[in-house]
Amino acid sequence: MNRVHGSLNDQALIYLQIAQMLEDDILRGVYREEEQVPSTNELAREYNINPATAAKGINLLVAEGVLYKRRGIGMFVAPGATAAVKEKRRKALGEEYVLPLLREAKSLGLNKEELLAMVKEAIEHEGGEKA
Amino acid sequence: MTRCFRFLLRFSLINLAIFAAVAAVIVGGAFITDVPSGNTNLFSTYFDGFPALSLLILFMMAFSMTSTLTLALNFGATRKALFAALQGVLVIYAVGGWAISALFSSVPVWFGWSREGAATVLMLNSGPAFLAAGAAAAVFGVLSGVMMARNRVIGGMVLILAMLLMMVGIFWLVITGGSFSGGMWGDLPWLLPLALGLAAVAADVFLYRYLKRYVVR
Amino acid sequence: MTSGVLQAKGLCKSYKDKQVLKNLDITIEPGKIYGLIGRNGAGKTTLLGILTAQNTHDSGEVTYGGEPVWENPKALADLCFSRELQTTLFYGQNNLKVRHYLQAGATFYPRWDEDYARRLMKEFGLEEKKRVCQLSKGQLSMVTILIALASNAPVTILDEPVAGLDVVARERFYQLLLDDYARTNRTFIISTHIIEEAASVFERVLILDDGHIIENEETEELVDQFRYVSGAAEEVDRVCEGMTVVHQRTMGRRKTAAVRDTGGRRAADLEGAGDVDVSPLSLQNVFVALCGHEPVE
Repeated sequence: MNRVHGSLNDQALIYLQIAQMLEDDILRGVYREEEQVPSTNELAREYNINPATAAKGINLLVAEGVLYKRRGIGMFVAPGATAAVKEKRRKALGEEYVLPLLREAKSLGLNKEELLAMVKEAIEHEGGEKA
Repeated sequence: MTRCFRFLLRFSLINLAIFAAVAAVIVGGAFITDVPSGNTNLFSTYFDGFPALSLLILFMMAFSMTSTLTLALNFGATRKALFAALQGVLVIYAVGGWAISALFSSVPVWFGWSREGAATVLMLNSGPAFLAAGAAAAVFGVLSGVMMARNRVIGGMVLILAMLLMMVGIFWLVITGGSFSGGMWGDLPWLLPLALGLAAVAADVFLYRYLKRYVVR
Repeated sequence: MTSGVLQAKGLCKSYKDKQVLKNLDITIEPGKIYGLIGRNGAGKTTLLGILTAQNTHDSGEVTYGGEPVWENPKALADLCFSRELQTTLFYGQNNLKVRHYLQAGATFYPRWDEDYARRLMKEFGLEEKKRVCQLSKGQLSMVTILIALASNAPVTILDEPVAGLDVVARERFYQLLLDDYARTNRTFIISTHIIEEAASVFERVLILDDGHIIENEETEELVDQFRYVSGAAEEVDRVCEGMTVVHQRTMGRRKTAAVRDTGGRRAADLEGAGDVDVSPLSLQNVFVALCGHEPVE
C-alpha cells in the first residue's frame, strides 16, 4: 500500500526511511559534504509527517556522525559522511541482502556450489562493474 | 460572565428587533386596512390578540436560545456564567417585550382609535402584570428548551404546561375583564403579578438545577 | 505556547446500563500531536467531552494543570473541543449559522485569530451566512477544522475532522495542521477513523478499547513492537513460542500470526529464526489486531 504523501511506504518505520533517504541522497551527491540538508520542519512539510519523527531520523544520522548541527543555522553533512555511509551500508549488506539470499536459496534447495555459480554468473552478466 | 452576556445579548437583541418589527407591521397593517374605524379583518385580529401573541413570541425566543446556550457551552463557557448571563437576558426580554407592548397599546390612545372590548385586553400591556408575565414566559421558554434537549418527553410536558398556563391566564383576564366588579377584581392588580412573579422565580430555580448538569452531546 | 498537563484518573461513565468508560486513566503531555483511535461506540467523543467539562462523569477526576476542569474558566479558556458537526440538533435542524460559530470562537477563545479564521473561510469556500443544516458533509468537516485551528488554544481537540473530506482535502488538512503545529507547538488531540494516512502525523497514539486507554505510546515505537510471522503453521508456532500472539489467522496449512515483543524478546528478531516470513505492521494493522477481533490483513 503506497502512502499518499511523498515516497514513504509502510514497510519500515518513517524515521528510518527519512534517515535512509538522506543517506541515499548523500551517496548520490545530492547533498555534498559541508552542505546543508533540509531542516526538520522542511522534511515534515514535504512528507506530511510529524516534525518529531523527522527529527528522530535526523538525530539518528547525527548520532552516527553523518550529519552535524551548526547552531542557529541547521543540519549539515559531516566531512567524511559519504565514506561513513558506505561503510555502514557495507556492514549491513550482509544482514540485509546476503542473509536473505542464503535463506531463500536454502528454502529453494540450492546448495552452496549452485548458489555461488549463480552469483558468479550474475557478476559476469553485469559486466563486472565495481560496486 | 461578561463574555457570556455579550454573546447571548447579540442574539437576544436581534430577536427583540424582530419582535418590534412584527409589532410595527401589525400596527402599520391595521392603519392601512382602516381598522381604527372599526374594521374587522386579519390585522384587527392580530391587533386585539397582541398581548397573547407577544407572550408567545417571548416564549419562543427564549426557547430558541437553547441552541445558543449549547454552543456557548461547547466553546468553553461555564454553566454558572451562562446562568448569570441568562438572568440579564431574561430581564432584557421581559423589559423589552413590555416596552414594545406598552408602545403598541399606546397607539390607539395616541391616535384616538375606538377599540371595543379590546381595551381591557390591552390593559395588560401597561401594567406590572405584563412585565411579570413576560418574565415568566421567558423563563419558562428557556426552561422548556433546556429540558427538551435533555429529555424530549419531559421537556415537551413542561412546554405544554407553560403554554396552557399562558392560555389560561390570558383567557381568564379577558373573560373577567369587562364584567367584573367588587372584591376579586380589586385584588387582581397585585395578585396576578405576584403569582406570575413566583412562577417565574420557581422556573428560574429549576433552570439553575438543570443547567448545572447540562451536557453537550 | 505553554499548556498544562491534561489528565484524567479513574474515569467512569455509564449510559443507562452500559459502562462506556471503566476506570480510565489518561495523561496528555503538552506540545505533542496525539491521535485518538478506537472503534465506533468505544466512547471517544464521550471521553473528549468529559476531558473538556462538557460532559459529566460518574467518578474519577479530570484536571488541567493540576486543577479540576469542571466549571473552571481558566482551564476552559485553554481547551478547545471542536466537535463533529451534525445537520440536526436534539430537536430538529441545526439552524445556527457559520457566523455564530465564528462569533462564539471570537468570544470564548482568548487567543482566537480572526484573520486566520477569515483566510480559512476563504480557502474552504465557506459562507458565514449559511446555516449548518445547509452545509455538505465536506463543509461540516471544514467548519470543525476552522474552529480548531483559529482557536489557537493551547490544547486543541478535533473530533473526526476528516470524516467528510475527500483525499485531496484530507492531505490539505494534514498540511494545515502540521504548519500550525510547527508555528505554535500546541497540543493537538485528533480523533479519527482514517488511521493509516494520519499515522505519520501523530507523534503519539492513544487507543481506546473496552473503556480503557490500552495504548498511549509514541506511534513508531508502538508499531515497531509488532511483526507478522507467516508460513507453515507448525513452523510459525515453533518460532513464536513464548511470544505474545495478539492475533492469528489460519488458511489450510498456512498461518499468519501477529506477534508482539514479549519479556525482552523482540518480534523483529524473529526474522531468520526459521523458515517464516517476518514483516512489519502498519498502525492500522496494529489497531485491528488489538481491537478488531477480525481476521488480520
